Formats: sequence, C-alpha cells, structure tokens
Amino acid sequence: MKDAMTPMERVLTTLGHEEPDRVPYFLLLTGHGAQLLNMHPEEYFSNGKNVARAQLKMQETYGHDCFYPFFYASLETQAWGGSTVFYDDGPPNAGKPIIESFEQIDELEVPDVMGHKGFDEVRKAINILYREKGEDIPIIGIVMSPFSLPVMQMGFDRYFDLMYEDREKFWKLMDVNKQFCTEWANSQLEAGATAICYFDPVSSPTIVPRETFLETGYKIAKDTIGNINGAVATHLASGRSMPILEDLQDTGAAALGVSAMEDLAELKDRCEGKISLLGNLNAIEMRHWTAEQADNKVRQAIQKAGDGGGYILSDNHGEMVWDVSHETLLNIANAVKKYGSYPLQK
Amino acid sequence: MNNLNKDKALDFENALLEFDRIYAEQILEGALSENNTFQVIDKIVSPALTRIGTAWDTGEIALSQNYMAARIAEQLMDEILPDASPERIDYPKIAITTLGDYHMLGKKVVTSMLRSTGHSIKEYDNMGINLLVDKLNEDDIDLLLTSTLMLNIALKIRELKKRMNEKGLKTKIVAGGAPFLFDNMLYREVGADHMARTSSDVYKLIDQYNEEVYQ
Repeated sequence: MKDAMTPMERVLTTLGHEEPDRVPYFLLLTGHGAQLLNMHPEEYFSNGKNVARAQLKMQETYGHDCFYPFFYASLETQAWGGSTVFYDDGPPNAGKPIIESFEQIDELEVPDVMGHKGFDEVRKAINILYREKGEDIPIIGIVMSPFSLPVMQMGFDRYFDLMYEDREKFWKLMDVNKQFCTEWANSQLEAGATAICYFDPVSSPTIVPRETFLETGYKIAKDTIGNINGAVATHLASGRSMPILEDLQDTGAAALGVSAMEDLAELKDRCEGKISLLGNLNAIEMRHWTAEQADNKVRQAIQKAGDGGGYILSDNHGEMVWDVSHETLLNIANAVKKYGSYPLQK
Repeated sequence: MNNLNKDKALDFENALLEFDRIYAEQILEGALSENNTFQVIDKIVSPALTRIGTAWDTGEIALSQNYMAARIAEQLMDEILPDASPERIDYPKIAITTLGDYHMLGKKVVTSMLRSTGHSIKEYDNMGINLLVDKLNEDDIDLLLTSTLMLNIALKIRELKKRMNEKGLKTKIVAGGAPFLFDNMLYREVGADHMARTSSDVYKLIDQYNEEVYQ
C-alpha cells in the first residue's frame, strides 16, 4: 500500500518523478536543535552527538522526510583557516575573509577534509543518524559549491572583482575549491549521507547574469557534481532560477531548491520529469503564519507542484529560520498530511 | 543644458552594465564640457543608477552587475567630485551601517550609488548599539541606512530604535537587505521608518525626506 512508505521510499519515488503515498516534506532544521537541547549554538555545534540527538528528536516530533545535519556554512572556511562568529539567536557567520589579495590565491592549498575537527563532528552526526535510521530516512549532507564558497573566503565585493577582472586567478581558486568540495561531499557520503545538497546561491540569476553563469558556475557545477559519488540537489538559497532552469537540469542535479520569488506552478511546468523541485515556502514570512495561513500556503504549494511527483515541500532558503515556532512547524506538517496524499484532491 | 538627453543617460547605463569604464567616462566628459557637475548627475548619472537598481529588483539584471555598475560610477564621479569636495551634498546627513553583519556588499553598493550622485555619506564600522546611538547623535544624522543579510541582525533595529527613542533622536531609519525583500512588513515590525528594496530606492527616500523637512 502506498501509505506504508518510509521517508526513504517516498523521497526516492518522488525523485523518480512518480507519485508516492504523499508529498514528502523537508523541514530543514538547524538552530532549532540547539533550542531543543537548551544549548548555546556554539556548544551545540561543537559535538556531532548533539546534532544527531536533536535531529532524531525533531524528525520524530514533526514527521518530516529527512535528517538535515547541517552545522553552519562557515565551518567550511574554518577548514581553510578562517573563523566563525557565533550569535545567541541566529546562524553563525564567517569571520574575517582568509583571502585579502588576489596574489594569495596562488599559495592556497586544499585542506585535508579528513583532518578537520569540525568536519569530524559533522561525519559523527551523519554516522549516528545512519546507524539509527539511515535505511529508512534520507540523510542530507551539505556542501558550499566551489563557485559560492569564495563569498566567505574573500568577501562578496572582492569576489566579484576577481570574477570580472582576473579570470586566471579565478580559475585557480575554482580548481582548489572543486577538489575541496568534491572530497568534502564524498566524505559525508562515506559517513552515511544519502545525498548531497550543493548550495550554490552565486549561480542564481539574482546574483550573476546567465552569460556569466554559463562561463563559470555552470561548468563548475557540471564538473563537481559529476565527481560527487551520490545524488545531488542544487540549492540557490532563495535566489531566482527561472532563466537558468534548463542549464541547471544539465548539470546532473536531481533536485533544485527554488525561491519564493518565483511561481511554483511555472517552475513545475518547466521542470516536470527533468529535475525535482524543493521549496518554496517563504522562510521569513513563515515566522508570523497563523495555523490558517500555514494550511493555505502548504495547500497552494502542493496544488501547484505536487502532481506527478518530482516535488518535495520545503522552505525556500534551505535552512529554516531559527525563530519559526514549534506550532508553525507542526501546522506545516499537519497541512502536508491533510492535502498531500496521492492522488491529490482537485 | 546641452548634450543631456535621455539617450545619454541610457548610453551611460548600458556602458555601466557592460562594465565599459572608458565609454562611461567619455559620456561624462562630453556632458561636463557643456554642463555643470550637478546637471550631469541629475540628467545622466542619477537616472541611470535608478534604473539599474530597479532592474535588479525586477530580475532584469543581477547583483554583480548592480555592484560593478555602482563601483565604476563611483570611481568616475570621485575624479570629478572628490570625496572631500565642499560641493558634495550633505543634506540630509546620511550614515550607513550593517549593525554588525559581516556581509558588506549591500553597504558598498548603496555607498557607491550615493557617492556617484554627489552625496556625502558616513560609513559606520561594526559597533555596539549604544555607541551607534552616540555616533548618530554626535554626527547629527538625519537618515540612517541599515544593510543586513542575516535576519537575527536585521531584528536588532528594534533595539536600536528603542535606544534612539530613549535619547530623543529623530533620525529616520531606512531598512535594507535580503530579509526585507521576503517580507514587506518586516521593516515595520522592527520599527524602521522606511524600507529600501533596492539600492536606488534611497534616492527616492532622500527626496521624500527633503520634501518633508526642507520645503
């Protein structure tokens, strides 16, 4: 019977562009885990056991269809010698950029992804989740794309300067970043991750025009995703995707995280049978949703993108805003169960 | 006014979007040979940058183009109207801060857009809310532009506004940055006076401020 599907079966069925028992939903919870365990984010993310424990508990509470052992983005720049700034009430930020001049790019060496304490903790979390429920519930590993990592490595403005004014150094940086990204992704898969979410906001037409993307981020994604030993979902972290949808389909990604700024029905129409969609609930507005609003937003998203599978309901940013309430998360979960059973109600 | 038709502003806009610094410079030089600096700003630079800011909001251009265009315009105008020039417009008094957010791009783009159109702007480095309130008071700032990417930092405006009220400051707060694009009511929630969806929205808010206060 369709309703007997595990989250793994449900997600794999929809990624195969077929209808499972119901629409799968990913609540991409990170900081909520620290709140659950009543820990400061710095303490919480210092040990993979904390993250695994909270992920297990949150999945049990909300019934969503994945584990999301994402710590924070600047963990990657820490591996390159950078620092992280922690806050009480929001995601950690990258500290001072590690690349202050283009000349430094020549000296960069790819960090050993197996020799970094922070990465060990991520792999530890993945491994615990895999041992506990890895056969039944997909575990999503996370990497920053080689093309987007420089925003933290050198700052956005300096990175744009590099992209447009020194392509030789740009490609040198991409070469080391590609190796790093591939090794980091594959080490998470070896630890038990089911698939990798490839965060690539800089490839979004919100950030660079399509012509620049085709010369850069597109080629980099194609190369990198081709070397990752598992399924990959590309996420543009709230950025638009419409002008490059066909290009993204060509990079080898199985799914795409899409923005609340674009119409989900139109996205589905262009992606049906080619690439699955993940999204696109507005992560900022969600903080104030009433039960009725949550119900409506979920119903509308499912109506727009649910038919035929190839759709996972989620927020549009790739990380649930930390102050979305427990009640709202439950309301979203209940609404998916109410409206998401296949065949969908018309 | 001569040589200042709409085509020139469009040519300048296209030169900026194609990162063609040389052609952009030639357009300004040509216009300045027959007009004064502020006529050129009003008829060429400001319309071009306004359209560029709007084009980013509607998805016609990308952030990288907005950034590069503003940077080139700023470099060209800095040669014509140096930063310390007494001719620079210093009303209303404007300052910009990221409120401690480490993402500086929005601040840089807005600062470049304002400098390109002859405005003075004070850039506040990372500082605590109390110190920021003291600086606003000391510098007698009329408009404080905040540029934040992280929601938790955007929410700090609430505390800033509270401290400003306690001190009796009349400075208007303009909230900008990604979180505000996804929730049109967020600026009100945090107590800001206005919201800027694009870097060039700041031009409109300056005009609005001037109309309210100086006329």
